[in-house]
Amino acid sequence: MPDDGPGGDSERSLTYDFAYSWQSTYGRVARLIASQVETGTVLDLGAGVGTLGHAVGRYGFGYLAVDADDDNVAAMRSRGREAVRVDLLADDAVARVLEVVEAAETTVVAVTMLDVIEHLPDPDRTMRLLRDVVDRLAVRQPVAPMVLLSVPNVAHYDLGAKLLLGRWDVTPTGLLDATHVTLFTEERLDALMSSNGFAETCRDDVIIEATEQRAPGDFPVFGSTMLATHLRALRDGADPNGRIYQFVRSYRGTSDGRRGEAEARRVETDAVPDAGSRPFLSVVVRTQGTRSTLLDTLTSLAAQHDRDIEVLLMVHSDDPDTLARVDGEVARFEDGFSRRVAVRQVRGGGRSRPLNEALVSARGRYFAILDDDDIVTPDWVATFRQIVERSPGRLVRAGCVVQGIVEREPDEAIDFSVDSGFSADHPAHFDTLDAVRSNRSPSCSYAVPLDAARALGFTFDESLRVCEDWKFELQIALTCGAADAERVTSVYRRWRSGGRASLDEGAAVWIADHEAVIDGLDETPTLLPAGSLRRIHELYRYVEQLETELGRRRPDDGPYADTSR
Amino acid sequence: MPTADASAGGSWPRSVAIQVVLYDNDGRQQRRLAAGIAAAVRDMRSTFPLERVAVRYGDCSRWPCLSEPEQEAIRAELAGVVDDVSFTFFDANLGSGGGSNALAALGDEHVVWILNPDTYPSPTSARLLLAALDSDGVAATEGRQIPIEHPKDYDPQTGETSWVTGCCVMLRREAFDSVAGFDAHFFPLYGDDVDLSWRLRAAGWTLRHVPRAVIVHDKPIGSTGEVRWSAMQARSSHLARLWLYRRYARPDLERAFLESVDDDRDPVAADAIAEFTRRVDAGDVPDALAEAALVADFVDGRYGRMRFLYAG
Repeated sequence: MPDDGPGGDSERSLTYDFAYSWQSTYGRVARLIASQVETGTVLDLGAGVGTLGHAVGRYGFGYLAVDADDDNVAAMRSRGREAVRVDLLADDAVARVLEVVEAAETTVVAVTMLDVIEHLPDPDRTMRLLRDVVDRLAVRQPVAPMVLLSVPNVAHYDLGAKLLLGRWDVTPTGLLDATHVTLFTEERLDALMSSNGFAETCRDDVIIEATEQRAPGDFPVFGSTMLATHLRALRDGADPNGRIYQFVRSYRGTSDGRRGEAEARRVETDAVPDAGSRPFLSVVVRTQGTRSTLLDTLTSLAAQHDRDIEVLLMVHSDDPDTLARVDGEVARFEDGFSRRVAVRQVRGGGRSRPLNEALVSARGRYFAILDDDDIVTPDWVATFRQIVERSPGRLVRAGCVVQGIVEREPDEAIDFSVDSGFSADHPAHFDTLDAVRSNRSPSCSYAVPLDAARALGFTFDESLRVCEDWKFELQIALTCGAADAERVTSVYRRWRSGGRASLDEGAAVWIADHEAVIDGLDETPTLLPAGSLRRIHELYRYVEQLETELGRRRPDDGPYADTSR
Repeated sequence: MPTADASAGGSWPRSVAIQVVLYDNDGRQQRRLAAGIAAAVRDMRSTFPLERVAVRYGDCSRWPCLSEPEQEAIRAELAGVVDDVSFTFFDANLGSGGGSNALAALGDEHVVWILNPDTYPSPTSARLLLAALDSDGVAATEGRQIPIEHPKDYDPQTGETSWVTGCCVMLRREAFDSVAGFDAHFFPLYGDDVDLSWRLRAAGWTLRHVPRAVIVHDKPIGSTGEVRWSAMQARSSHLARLWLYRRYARPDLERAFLESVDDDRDPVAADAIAEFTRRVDAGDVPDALAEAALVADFVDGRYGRMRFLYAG
């Protein structure tokens, strides 16, 4: 049981006799109850020494305590609390709890189970009991009681960071209380509750930045070290729970009740999707549904040698006719392709919105982006797969060429045509430092590992008007690294008139967002691939040489210093 | 200008043959193409009430390149959409033009749609090509290839063009037969489409590029953006060029080409010239076409005017 972090009060005789304060778990639970009901009794299962009674009493609620420990029950009674001994693991636990409520002749508005389930080897069994109690009380009294839990969060940054150093320090109380036998993350708690028919209504989690796990010593994963800052940024990107010490949440029973044993087991065991059932590549195609180049894009996808793909065709338009037209265009393709295409309508937002919506629903191992004027060669997917097999987990990139495209007049045979050969405007290979200098990889030229993007919380920055794909690519590359193939597998068609944002947006917007990307990524330390120090070293020497040639530096001057900082 | 046979009756065309000449192609590639053909035929038939659509494969490989199960898989892709699927093993390398001629001789459909085995048609391509063909005087319509779009020029309004590429061309059988199809003797691999096109135009027909009819043609793009040619392709292309100069009466261009080749620097071209010279000495040369000057369209060493050029 967490002790509400450093500063929590404990008495050795009664291990979990913690003091009440307004920001303690008990204070938070009392406030959550008071925010939802005005009067009634709180039934506290696994009550310990009944500290919650004091907290809910301040809001005028009655308090009925149940605990399995004789000493705890005695202590509560000695303090004037109404307390009964019931072993929640016993077969007759539900009946005994109901007897207690009946004897008290009261209306239970909330059933609490604070810092209990982490001590139980089979929390699902206990949750079934809780659901049973709630359901039976619901038919005996005017309202069904709410349920409140507090559960320590083992996904707190401090635990993960210390584990990186090989430390797993069990403590008498706290996140790694020696008596905890079941460990919870938010995902596991959510799964447990939903599988037992409970829906969350409110939360007031305990947030603690520096937990008891930081003692003793100055671990380099804590404080203001570069390593800590980098890890902290990764953890904060993954989900918002890195600072949550204890989940404090209230629930209501849902009408569909428990979803059954099979589903509960599935939730427990299927947290990681089965890799065998996932397509290799999720291809998001971004379109406003107005450009006839979309047919080129879709046909080039249908012609792939490796069709282990899903296509998320994101139609960024409010117009239902546009959606229907695109849907019809897809339906013309053979079933073998069209059934791999999901047409989705996207409303609002900018260029990033369709990408982010696709990112949420994509199922592939990898995730790639095409605009509706890009085309790919038939070995586009197969080439990505070959690179992934060589360098799994990295951003994978293949060669891309540029071709000019122009709009044609309305009376002509088609509304666009290419007007140039191919130019190799982008480097054949991915170079991290080069990629930091500017966007050197059109979005059609790479694919990113989807699980990595999700685990790290990387999304397309909706505050950017342009460059959103560049920032996303850099985030992945600077975390996972990149691998490439020289083979050209995509054609980025650059509009010379009309067309995509490259010409619609003013140069000032591009410059501003370019700088915003660099500044944003620069807020935390950066990982660079092996060999980068030599590259930076040589770049400095090159600057020294140029400065010397320009006469701004003498050959025997000291090392060049970057004075821009 | 020729007049199409049954257009006036409003019942043309009633039938289409789709032809694919194979040479050591793999089954998976052909199954994908068959699926693409099926979607294109379904869309075409939604507009044109065709009585009959047949798909014919002609295999020029040394041994049949498609196994029985692979042929069955292809039949399954086309089932319910086309009326007949056949596989013919030629037991000889007839070349793409010769194979196409042989397949055309197996049927009498009004329209012949020739597809390279390394293509994939967009679902609307057949309908658009047929619609463009359904007009007096039009002998052939071609699709727009991606990812390497052909740079050949065309009339932006009508699509009329100097010649049509053979990798995806839809032809009136009447026109095709009237000029005896491809000349596979002199153009077994390259140049056969240019030659056929110009002979059709010499006979008074017109040709149309249909840019909305999209066809994927699986050709590699070089790492610097160049369009790659193998030595065999280059040799065949050089030889075809020389025969075209002969047939279309351009001795000046033939001479300039022969003089431009440095045997040491371009052994592939030198090899093609050696073959050309040997056959000329043996009298194995095409006759010059009487209407050559009216249809031959040599511009800057290329066939027809180009909108742009690829490197390579």
